[in-house]
Amino acid sequence: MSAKAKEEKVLPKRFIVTFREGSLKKGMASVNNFMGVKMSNMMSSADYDDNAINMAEVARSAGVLFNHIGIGIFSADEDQARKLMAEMKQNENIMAIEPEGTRYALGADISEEYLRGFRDASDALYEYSRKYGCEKQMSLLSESYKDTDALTWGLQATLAAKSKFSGKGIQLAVLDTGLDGKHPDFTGRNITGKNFIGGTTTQDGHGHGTHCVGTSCGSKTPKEGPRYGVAYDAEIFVGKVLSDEGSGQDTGILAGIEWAVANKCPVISMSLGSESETTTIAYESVGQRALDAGSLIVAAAGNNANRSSSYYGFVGCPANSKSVLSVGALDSRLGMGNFSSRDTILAAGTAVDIAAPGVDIYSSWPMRDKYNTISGTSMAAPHVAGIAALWAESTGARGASLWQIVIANAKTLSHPFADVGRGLVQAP
Amino acid sequence: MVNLIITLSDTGNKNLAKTKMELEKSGLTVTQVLKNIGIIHGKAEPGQMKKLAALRFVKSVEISKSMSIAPPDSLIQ
Repeated sequence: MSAKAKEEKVLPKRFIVTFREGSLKKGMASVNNFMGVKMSNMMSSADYDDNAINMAEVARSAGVLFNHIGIGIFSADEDQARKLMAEMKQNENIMAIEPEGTRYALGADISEEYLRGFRDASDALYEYSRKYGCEKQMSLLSESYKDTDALTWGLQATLAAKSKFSGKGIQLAVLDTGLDGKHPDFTGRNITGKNFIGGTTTQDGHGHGTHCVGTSCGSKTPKEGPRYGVAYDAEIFVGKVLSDEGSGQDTGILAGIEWAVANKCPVISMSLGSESETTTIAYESVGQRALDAGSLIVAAAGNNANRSSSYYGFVGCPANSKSVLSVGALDSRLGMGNFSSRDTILAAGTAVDIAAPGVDIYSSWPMRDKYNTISGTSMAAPHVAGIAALWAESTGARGASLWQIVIANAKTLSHPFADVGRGLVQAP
Repeated sequence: MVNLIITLSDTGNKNLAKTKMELEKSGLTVTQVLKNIGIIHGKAEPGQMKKLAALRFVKSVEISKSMSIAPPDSLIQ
């Protein structure tokens, strides 16, 4: 056994508990129940003038509390930790409990064998790239998905199909052409609707809205065919801001956002946009005010590219706002959708922030067709919206915090940042 | 007359009633007040826009534009 391994064995096992925002005191009550650790017996960063704990004293204490970052570190045996982990699933004050790891400086203890393997792999990749070109090499490394009898490829690639979260307790607003109220897959769902184009109904006479609601919030067990919806337990808010012909005014769209924010929807999905390279002050301000109020606006980046002709388009409004999460579209091999807009403007806010399945997407469609398979960044945005609802449920995060969590958990892709931002959206 | 979107400053949103009155005095026919996001919708002659934009608590005055999506039978939406 190495000296390092011996050292790890003799040290008491310590666990890091991450408390939810503002829940440190309540969370500590649970820790006390399961570990017998009282807050008064712990070292706290608040006890030190400069909030810097003297780490030499840590070993002698029952635990450490970092008040400003909502973290506690406790010594515990496996049994206590297991009990606390089980409790955590029902406890709204504790976000995570994880064993404390030991970190080593990079470069230390790297074996010669490891370095030789690294060198050989790098050499092989370099030779292959020189011979066949980098793009081909990357495509060989990429993944491939397909619709099955049970699941659409989008739900598989985003891990939504494997998530234990359903969007329960989360209000998700879809501002679009409405929803077909007669569609059997939405029977029994909690749906609130509002018309913002001068009518009274949210009935979808186009199909686009029904498709987007389907992807973001569709049923776990549709009447027929594969599952296609992400947040199948979310409360659906349908704002009809586009006519049956597919057009709408900024005023109606902003009124829809107001309605969703007033109804405290943590996620607002907008698969719409204009061919404008710049945003407006209104959308920029409203995106930020929505975030401040706890609502994340997700928008389609746009379909104005024609990549096969080397035209990459630009991100349209309102997705090109800094305060709006902009979504690009991927195909089932995780390649770019030919139409998916790139950030060619490269100004503050015009970026694509994240990517999602947007080519050959199967979802609900107004009766009697019932289902339809179409493509577009309009189909990618609802994947992100649904998954944001799952993260909102699993973490309790809202607004800018929710944005950060969705982005931080994206899967890295080999495409340029200007096409996919941080990568492929992933469900918790 | 054009449909206008008035974005209020952050402090403007806290002075909504006063700001609305000043906008009306300056030629805006207010059609909608969106208090949660600090927006006022209205109609005015294009020539009034500069005057409206110069008011206290007004961040911007922009003309409402239209957005559209592809027709239902399009394969790319």
